[in-house]
Amino acid sequence: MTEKRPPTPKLGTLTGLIVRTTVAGAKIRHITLPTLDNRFTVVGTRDIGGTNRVKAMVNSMPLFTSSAVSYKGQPVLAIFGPDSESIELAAREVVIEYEAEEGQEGGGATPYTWAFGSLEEATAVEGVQSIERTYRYGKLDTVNSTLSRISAQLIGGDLHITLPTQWPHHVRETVAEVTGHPKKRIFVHCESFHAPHDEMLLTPSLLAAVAALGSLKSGTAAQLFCVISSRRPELTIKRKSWYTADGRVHGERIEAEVDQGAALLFSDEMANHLAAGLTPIYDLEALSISITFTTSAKEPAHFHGDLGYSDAQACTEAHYNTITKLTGYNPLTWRLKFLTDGGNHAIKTEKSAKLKEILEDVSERSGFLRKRAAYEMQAHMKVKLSTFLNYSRGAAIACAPGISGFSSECRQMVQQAVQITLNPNNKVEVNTSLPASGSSAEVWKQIIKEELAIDRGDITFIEDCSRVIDSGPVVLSVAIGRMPQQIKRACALIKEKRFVQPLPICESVLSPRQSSAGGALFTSNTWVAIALELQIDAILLQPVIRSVWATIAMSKAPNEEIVRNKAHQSIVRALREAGGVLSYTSNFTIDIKIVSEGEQLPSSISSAVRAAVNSAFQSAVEQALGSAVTRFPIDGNVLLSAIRGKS
Amino acid sequence: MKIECNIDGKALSLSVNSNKPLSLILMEDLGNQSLTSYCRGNACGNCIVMVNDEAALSCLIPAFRIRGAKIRTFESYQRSRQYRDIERAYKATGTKPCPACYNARTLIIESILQDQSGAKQQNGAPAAKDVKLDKEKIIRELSLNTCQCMDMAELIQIVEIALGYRNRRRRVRRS
Repeated sequence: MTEKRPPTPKLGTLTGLIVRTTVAGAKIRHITLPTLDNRFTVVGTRDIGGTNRVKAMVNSMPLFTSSAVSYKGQPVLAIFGPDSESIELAAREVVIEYEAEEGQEGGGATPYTWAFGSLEEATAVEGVQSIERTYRYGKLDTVNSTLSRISAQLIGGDLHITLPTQWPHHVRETVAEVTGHPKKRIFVHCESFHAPHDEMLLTPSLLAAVAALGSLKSGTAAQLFCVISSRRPELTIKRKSWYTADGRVHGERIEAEVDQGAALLFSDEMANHLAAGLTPIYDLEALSISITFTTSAKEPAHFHGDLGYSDAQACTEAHYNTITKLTGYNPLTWRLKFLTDGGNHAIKTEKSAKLKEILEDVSERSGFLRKRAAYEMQAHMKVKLSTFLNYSRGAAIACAPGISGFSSECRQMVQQAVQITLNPNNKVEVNTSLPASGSSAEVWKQIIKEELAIDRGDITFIEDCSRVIDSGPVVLSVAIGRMPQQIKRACALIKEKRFVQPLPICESVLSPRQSSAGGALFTSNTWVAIALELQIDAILLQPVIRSVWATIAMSKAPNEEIVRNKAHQSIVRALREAGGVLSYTSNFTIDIKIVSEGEQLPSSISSAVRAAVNSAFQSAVEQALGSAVTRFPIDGNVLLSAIRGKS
Repeated sequence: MKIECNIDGKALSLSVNSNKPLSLILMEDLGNQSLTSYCRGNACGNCIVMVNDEAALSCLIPAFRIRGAKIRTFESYQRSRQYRDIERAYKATGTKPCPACYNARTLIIESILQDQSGAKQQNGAPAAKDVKLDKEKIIRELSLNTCQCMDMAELIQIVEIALGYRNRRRRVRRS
């Protein structure tokens, strides 16, 4: 029998649409709204009961604008109506008049500095040479098409918000501040999400506030359907290095400029992540880093999978690959010679002996030395491969330490907690706001199972949103980097009291501050080494990846299958985003080897994998073309200009 | 307009605009949880559903085209026995698609498996294990999804392994 379905799942639910500005760097003169019947509700700055700001740590940005337009696509107002088609028609009739406003771009802040040693002394060595290069990490064309539904409903004075979010407590706080609704009467229900570029960090809070305003004004349930995406901050890194003919780098001056768009968000922490990536892990006498953040009439940019660490680390590795070439070394021998234990002053890493081992291993498995020498030789042959290229193959090697979580200098972020309760009959209840599904949750369960000797089936996560405690935002791989440490600590505390105190035993553990021993910003106990081989397609001018080899050293792999899968996905995604085309041939392989030693819980590998892949890719393209490539991601235009530059 | 079709084994009568895309009908009108993608026809490939047993981009199918069609989404497919073959293949290779494209990629692989195994046997042609896989066709089908999480060589390997499981299961059932 045919089942009849209504046109919408919930009758009476209003659907909303946000009207945005169509220009940047202007002032709104007048907004003309169409005549709408009582089925519609319009929400603007006048309907905001609290403050018109969305906060992120110490910085903030406006929710709606009614005067100055900071960037194209800034929310102006929202129209709620019975269905998506009618509100789209109504939104088309909204007329916004602008007047030009000049002198908005280029707002800057005080630069962040980070230094050790004396550059003057280090560069006064006899026979010193210098190399200066500017690297640009620009806009990334990642298409997000996940349609997220953000809904708000007022039930008996309680405001229920349902949405996908990386930070539920931020949603609650933002909605409370914008609407003026009591915080304890706001309930956030999280839906599952996939946000490889941290799309669900702040935007869902902004949309939830709009939906809540719509619901409060209309008195019915309101929902928004939106494609949420995030923008990558544009990064320009100017590095000048002083080196001698023996391959030793004596000093380095780095000036980085970050364009964060219309609002400077998480800038302090981003400076720490950039400093960690820009500081080389090799022997260096003096270093001076200066990082400047600027604003422009573009959409705000902050988190994009990380806070700039992988781009900065990729830049460092690519730069040092260039220096090895200039000094006549091969990249492997140079690294083995100049890797030191106290190299990176920003990251407290494991002993470099382990990194040397995995570098040698990845080089041997890939035949890196033979391939590199052969390609270098063939590039100088007289017989050309095509009109543009002599020989178009390249091989490169790169390495990086993996970091996760916020730095030891990050004081603004309140400490996040996790709570574990051992109930009677050995049932364990975990209280955290982080998503309780996916591979990370499997790792947590594994740790609890091993520590408390209970069945996996006896471990449950609290789903009641009113009882869930704030475990912070799910960014910077905290779910796999910081969280297992907290869970292990909580289990250890329970173990001490078990069989001594009556059940239930409940233990809360706050997020540990990163160890700041020796002034290090981060602690790392994972190393990643990548070797990569590619070929530039002489007709299509595309870098075709032939094979990738990776060796990952970590103290203890919680689940080798999960680590391998994550590493594989990170490699493929990083290569595609960098502009590489993966070969379709059966010879193409991504060979991943995991070396795990010790009992410590590892820091994340994804940022290190991304950094090593990007730098290896950049260096391999440079070898294939025989000229410098300093713009990222690498597309046809970048390749063409590199070829032209050479000629 | 009123449209009658079969979605996930249920005969439905829908009142929707004639040009509304199938992806939006499934998400908005039927509240299908397995579908979250809406690229407005940019062919991201995350909205794949099976329309009359063939993988298709639901954002490109207008409502009037689904009249009388049999549509299968991942929501019902994941409860079927066929899904186990692909799930086992993911496990065997140690890699699987990311959460964003998992449902779509799995349905594409299912469509390929049906194409490579079922069709040939129906026509009295040799069994799929004896037939060389049409890799170009497989690559074309797999390219329906543009998610950047997996490489093609890996996907082809998954298809081959899943096809092996499917054929073995069929032989066991027949014997």
